[in-house]
Amino acid sequence: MRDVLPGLLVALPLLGAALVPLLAALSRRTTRVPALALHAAILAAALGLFGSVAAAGPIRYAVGGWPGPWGIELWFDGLSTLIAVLVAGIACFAAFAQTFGPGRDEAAPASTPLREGLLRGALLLLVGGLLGIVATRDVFNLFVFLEISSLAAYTLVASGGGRATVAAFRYLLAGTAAGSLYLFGVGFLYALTGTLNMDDLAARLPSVEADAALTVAVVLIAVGLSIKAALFPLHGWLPDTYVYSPTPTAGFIAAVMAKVSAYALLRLLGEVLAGTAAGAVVLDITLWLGVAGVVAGGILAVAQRAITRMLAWSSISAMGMILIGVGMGSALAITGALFHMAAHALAKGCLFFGAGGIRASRRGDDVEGWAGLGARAPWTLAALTVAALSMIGIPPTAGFFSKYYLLSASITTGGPAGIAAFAAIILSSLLATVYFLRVLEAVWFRTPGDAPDASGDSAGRQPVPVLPRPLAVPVVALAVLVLLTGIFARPFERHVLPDWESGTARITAEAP
Amino acid sequence: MTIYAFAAALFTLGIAGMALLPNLLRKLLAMNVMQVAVIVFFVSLAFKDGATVPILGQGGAPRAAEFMNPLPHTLMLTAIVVSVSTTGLALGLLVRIRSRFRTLNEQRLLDRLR
Amino acid sequence: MTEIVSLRPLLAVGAGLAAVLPILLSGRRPALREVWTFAAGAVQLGAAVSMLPAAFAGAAHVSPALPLLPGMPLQFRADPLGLLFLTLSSILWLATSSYSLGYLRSLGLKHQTGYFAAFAAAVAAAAGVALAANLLTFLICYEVLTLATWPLVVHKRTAGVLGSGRSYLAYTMIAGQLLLGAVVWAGVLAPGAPFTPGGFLAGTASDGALRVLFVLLLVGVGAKAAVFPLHGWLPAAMVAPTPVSALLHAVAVVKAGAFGVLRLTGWVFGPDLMHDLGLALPLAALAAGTILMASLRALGEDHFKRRLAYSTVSQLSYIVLGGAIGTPLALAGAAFHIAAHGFLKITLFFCAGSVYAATGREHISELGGLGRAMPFTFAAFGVGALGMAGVPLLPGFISKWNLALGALDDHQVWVVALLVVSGLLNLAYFLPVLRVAVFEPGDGRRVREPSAWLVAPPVFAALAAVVLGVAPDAGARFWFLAESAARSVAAHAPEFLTGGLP
Repeated sequence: MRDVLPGLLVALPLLGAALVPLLAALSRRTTRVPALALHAAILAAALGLFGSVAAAGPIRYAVGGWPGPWGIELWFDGLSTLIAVLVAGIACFAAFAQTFGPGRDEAAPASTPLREGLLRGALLLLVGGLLGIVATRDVFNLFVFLEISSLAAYTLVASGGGRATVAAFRYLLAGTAAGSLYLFGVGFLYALTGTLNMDDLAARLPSVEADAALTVAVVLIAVGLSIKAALFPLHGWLPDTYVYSPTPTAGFIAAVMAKVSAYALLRLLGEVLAGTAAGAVVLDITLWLGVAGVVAGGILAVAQRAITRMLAWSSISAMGMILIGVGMGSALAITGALFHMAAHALAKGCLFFGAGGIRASRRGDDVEGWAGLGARAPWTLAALTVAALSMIGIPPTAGFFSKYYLLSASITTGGPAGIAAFAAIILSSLLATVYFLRVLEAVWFRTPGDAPDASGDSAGRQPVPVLPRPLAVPVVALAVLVLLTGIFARPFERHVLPDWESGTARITAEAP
Repeated sequence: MTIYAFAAALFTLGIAGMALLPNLLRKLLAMNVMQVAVIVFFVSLAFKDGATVPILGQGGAPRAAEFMNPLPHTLMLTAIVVSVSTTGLALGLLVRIRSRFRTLNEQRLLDRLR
Repeated sequence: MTEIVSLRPLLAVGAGLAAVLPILLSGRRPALREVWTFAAGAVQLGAAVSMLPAAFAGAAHVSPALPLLPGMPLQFRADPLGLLFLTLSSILWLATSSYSLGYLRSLGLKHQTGYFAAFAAAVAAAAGVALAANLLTFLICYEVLTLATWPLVVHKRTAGVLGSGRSYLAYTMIAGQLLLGAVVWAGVLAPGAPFTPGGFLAGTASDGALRVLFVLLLVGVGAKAAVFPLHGWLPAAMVAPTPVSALLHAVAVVKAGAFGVLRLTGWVFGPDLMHDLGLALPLAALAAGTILMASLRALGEDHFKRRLAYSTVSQLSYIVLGGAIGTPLALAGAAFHIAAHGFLKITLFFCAGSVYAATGREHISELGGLGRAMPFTFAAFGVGALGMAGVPLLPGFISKWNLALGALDDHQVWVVALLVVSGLLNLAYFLPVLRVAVFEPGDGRRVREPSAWLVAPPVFAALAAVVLGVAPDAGARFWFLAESAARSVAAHAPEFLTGGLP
């Protein structure tokens, strides 16, 4: 299995992305079964890899049998398989919601089997691109996968129609600028070292003279990936994109899209470029920008009235938190950052599926519209409550543990940066308390009488369900995962952390 | 060296255009300028004085010094494909935006979205 | 101390938690729903009592550790102090549950299912706070307690009540985040350290850093303990139904805060380090200030439950005071006061609730004539009031007497004066309640004692208080538990602090 799975993990979604629309075009019938089966198979492959890496150590896979540094290599360790499982798992929920859910806002065109097939293909393409970023060991290949995933994401966002097309276009501009900056940086690295393989780069860079070209390369790569990771103040594309996307897309990209870029940033800055002077400085700057993002995102989330927009700003705050961890760079901090990626992906996916679905069932997108929903749909709202508590960091949800790791790391880091990170994390929890408990208070303790009920039950129509079942299933499942991840945190951490330590040790050992 | 400065200037011009131009189509054109700058940069990386195109002639072992580096060119083939598909998608989006909102002016669009 | 690994601590904590879901699911069948509550209460009390013999023999039941964070497991340990708090809250939970039945039914309050579910969750969290073996476990239970209490505070759902709920959350959540920061910090300084009698932080960091850490921890637990100036939420939270105020604001939540201060002073820093860092005296002064300030506020308060709330603020600072002085007798007095104040204050709150249920009156000036109409209720109130003031043969006397002796061991004579003055203030704000009720004429409306569900619990609590005052070492042996908790801390303290205990 270890020989086949790595290739399969990346190839399956890419092949599926081509085959599913083709099938739809040829058969003119729904493609829900093959699409869902593909997503399940991808998740199985990711889980299989995670298990295999946990049991028998990291896997290096030479694409087409060409070993590095000439060929493209895929690299799977605890870190990358963890992110792969996260991506593939949440993709299953998104595909489920896309297949069975309403998902269609009033502006979107009518659905046909071909259109459905194309959108399913786009989701598979997005998954394939993200898994490619996670797996690849080649910096140019990473650019290609970055663009593949971005193109698929623009398409999925735009499928919402209306405002979503404008959001998608603006996202496209920002994303392409990010990709080009990154590619420019890769060009400099190639000119300096003559290689594109990450291990080879990490081995050669220490012997490269620290001159302006190297600094420019590091800065270009960092800025490019930071745009993708929505690092403050490069987050401009994020709120509109998350808010106007169709619900299944919003749930997926809010959960994993920016995080995969943060992962790439971690790989490149923390591993490949860590030995360079410019890399160290850029990591420090990342930390401070992370602190700024945590605070600014939190404050702006408090200022929002629309719930989805509030969630989008809270994502900017969370990305800041992850990048604080990346910036600090100690094993403890990386664990915290990874843990926060997982915790936030699960919780934010849950919240976006829920908030999008409630918005689509015409209960509005503001706090007033959510008043009294707890009594109507206790299970789904309880699930959303768990996710919200995880965002605040209340034990024993997953969010508490990631904050614990990051706080510990900032104390061991010490100095002004450590203190700033510590204060920012505490402050962000308080801000999250303000903006989430405001919603929870309305949900559980206020009656819908306080606000006009837009669902029209009183007009004698059939009551619209608060959250359609196709969205309720992912919401509840993700909330359960949020709880389990929290309680069974320790084994999870044991699998991921040693690989990171040995990974950095390996690179330092190879360096002359 | 001049060619690198040229690429950098072109890139900056593109980024500035994307940020400052009011019309979405113009932003898209600026984006293309930016992408071309990267391609110019990579292609010029491969250039060596006195070297020729990397096509093996008849007979004789190839000597690296006689040829330009083929790798950046092949990389740029991929980058051009990416660039073309991005542009195509963007144009499609612009058609949709224009038919729905009757304008491509960013400020007016943002006002509509509120 | 010998440790016995067993599941009983988990049972004590888990009983209430396990009841939450069945209670929520049996919302349509109130009888079944209440069976769950009482079953959970009985299991929790049973688990607590079953761990007592080991504690009397100097051993402690310890749950298996669930690893959560590097070196930091989730673990519960039934040491004497924790067992004292656990047994107390189990007994009073059962009493409050039967009182709640009568109270909610006679007033016809809505949302009863959510009420009982949140109540079970809050009591389980308080049990977790009692038995927490380390700071991480303590923090987790503490945060759950905060959130589980929120629905109870805002039970009436009106705009004003929601505002009080926000004020409650503002205090407790901010404090909770500071506590989180402090717990993480302590976890970095002393990785994985459990609560240790005599403290575990000595020598782990510079004096200045330890002082900052102490302040963070104190604010974290002090907000729930309603220590001045963090007491503002408690009177506001009196908008909750009376049984909630009774059990949670007099026994579980606020007491969890005071209990946390004792853990902090005795088991995290330790009296030794507190004296070395010069923290003991400022903390004692803060407690003294709180005692006096809250007593004065209580004097001027006409709202019945809010007067009781200020009394709680004042009484819980005795516990803080004992923790600050740190001599064995002071610690024993403080620990015993957890139980003493629990029985006495719940009696008082039950009486206030019965008056409200029978007449709808909430202010002391409206109580005229009720003393004769509701003799059992006001007899129980009299016991509670005198006990609070520290009249001999009632439990408040035992705690204050030992506090005074403990303070004299440390040559803090002013504490004796403080105790006398505050005892007089107690009488000054409680006796007028009795005077109005017994001697002032009523408004002529006929008033009768409410149903037996509402009369029995306060009478039971008052009788239990009398028993505790006359024979503090009978039954659950609260005095023994308090004394052995203090003794364990003293065993690790330097010579000058160990006087007093034989």
